[in-house]
Amino acid sequence: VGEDEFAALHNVANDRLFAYVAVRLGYADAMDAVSEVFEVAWSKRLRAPGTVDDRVGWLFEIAKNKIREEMRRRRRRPHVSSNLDYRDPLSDHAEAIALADLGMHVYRSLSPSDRLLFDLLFIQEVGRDNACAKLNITMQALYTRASRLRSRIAALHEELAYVEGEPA
Amino acid sequence: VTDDESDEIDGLRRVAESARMPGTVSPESLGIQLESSSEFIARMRATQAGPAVRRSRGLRVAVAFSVIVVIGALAVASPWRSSPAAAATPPALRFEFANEVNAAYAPGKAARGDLLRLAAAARTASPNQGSGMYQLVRTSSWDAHLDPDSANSKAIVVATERSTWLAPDGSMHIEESKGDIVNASGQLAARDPIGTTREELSKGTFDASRSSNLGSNTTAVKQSLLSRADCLNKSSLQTSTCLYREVADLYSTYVVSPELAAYLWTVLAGQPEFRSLGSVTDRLGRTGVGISIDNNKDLGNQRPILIISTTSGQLLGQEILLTRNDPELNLKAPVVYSFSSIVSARYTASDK
Repeated sequence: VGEDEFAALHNVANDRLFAYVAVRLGYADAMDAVSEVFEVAWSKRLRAPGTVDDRVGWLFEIAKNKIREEMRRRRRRPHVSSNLDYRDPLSDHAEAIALADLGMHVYRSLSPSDRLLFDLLFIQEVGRDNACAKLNITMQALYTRASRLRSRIAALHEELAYVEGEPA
Repeated sequence: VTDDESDEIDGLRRVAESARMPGTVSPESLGIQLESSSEFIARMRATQAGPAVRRSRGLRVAVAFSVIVVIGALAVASPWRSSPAAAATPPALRFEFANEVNAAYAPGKAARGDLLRLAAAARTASPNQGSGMYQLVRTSSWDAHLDPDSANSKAIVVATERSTWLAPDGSMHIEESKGDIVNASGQLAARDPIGTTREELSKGTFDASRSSNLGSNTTAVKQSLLSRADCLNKSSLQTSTCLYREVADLYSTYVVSPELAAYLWTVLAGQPEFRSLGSVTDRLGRTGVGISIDNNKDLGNQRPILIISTTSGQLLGQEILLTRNDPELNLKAPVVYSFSSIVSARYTASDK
């Protein structure tokens, strides 16, 4: 993979990786983690897979290990929060952050299977056909599950927003 | 599949966006500017000419000392291999009251006496801690990471040399080099350009005067340490665990004065959970005493050992032993899980 190809891969995957890491580590730590994922990929770019889809999948594999490593680190140091600056109530982005925190809460309240579906569609963005293949379901079943997930998210958001006093 | 059905996913997206769920929220809206591809490529190009500069949100470094994942080493008699993934884990150091085989669980003896002697050594020592406004701390360690290329869990072992310059305004300049291990001190065989980074943390990231403002007596120092760690009113065992972590963190960032070192060891001497493993020669050949802590659930499958100099009374480093098997890294206890040595800590006039 040359520089131009790597830059294209970076453009395609940057936000997706950020979201993928953020739901697991939180927004505050996601930026550094994503940088490190790309650094690892850069160092191994001569061995990158051949297609763009496979390369994106490869980046997610690197991200998985980065996340596992960070989780190991946190288990050893559970009382240290890295969200201190992120949650600054005086930040210009405080309101957006509060709403994103609520959205994260909704995400984390989903069942594992719903989270997987959500990940494939909106975080990894693998496409509908690939999502069906990864979930081993038909397109019809995908739409049915999407419909149910939509209802669950709407209900969860309303419930959690009420609890936290945010406008739903 | 009808049009209405295929719209379900679009409808789901709209609901997710409305709920500000991850994947539908831009980093920019949260005040987070991700590095662009051109910035990233430029940074990678720069690494080929010199140390990389990584943009950072910062706080990650504050726990650097205590979060070293694994420091594996080869048997001391073995040549260091160029393939870190092939590295075996090292034997534990041989302490007066614990050897390579039982160091993970050897009880040692009550540490109070040794800690008070170390406090006295610190109090009477007159180390050259340099002069200037910047606090420079150099550490040498072996880190093990999960292999990013491996679908299965596998550890790769990498040597790390790290220098941090803490400025009076709380900013920090960091240089970190990684490479293959060449000897038991963690020196590098060759610096990997990708693994060499220079990082700048903005002012206010640290309280630069923390080490000098912890207190002027043992009680005050203990209170400050526990308060910062949110460990007030905990059990004695939890308090000891917190104190161990705070001491390790303190030394990872600050130059610790002889007076403060004396207070720290006196504080630890008051905690019955600390155990002395006796005298030891650390991996840099320095003489010290190993101070461990009783195994407990707060520490998981690890047994930390602080190694404190018998001459200067300063912390020389720490080792963490694995007390139970770690399937994630495919390591079998008892092995050295990590180690970090403080090579030097002094004041300097230069910020890098």
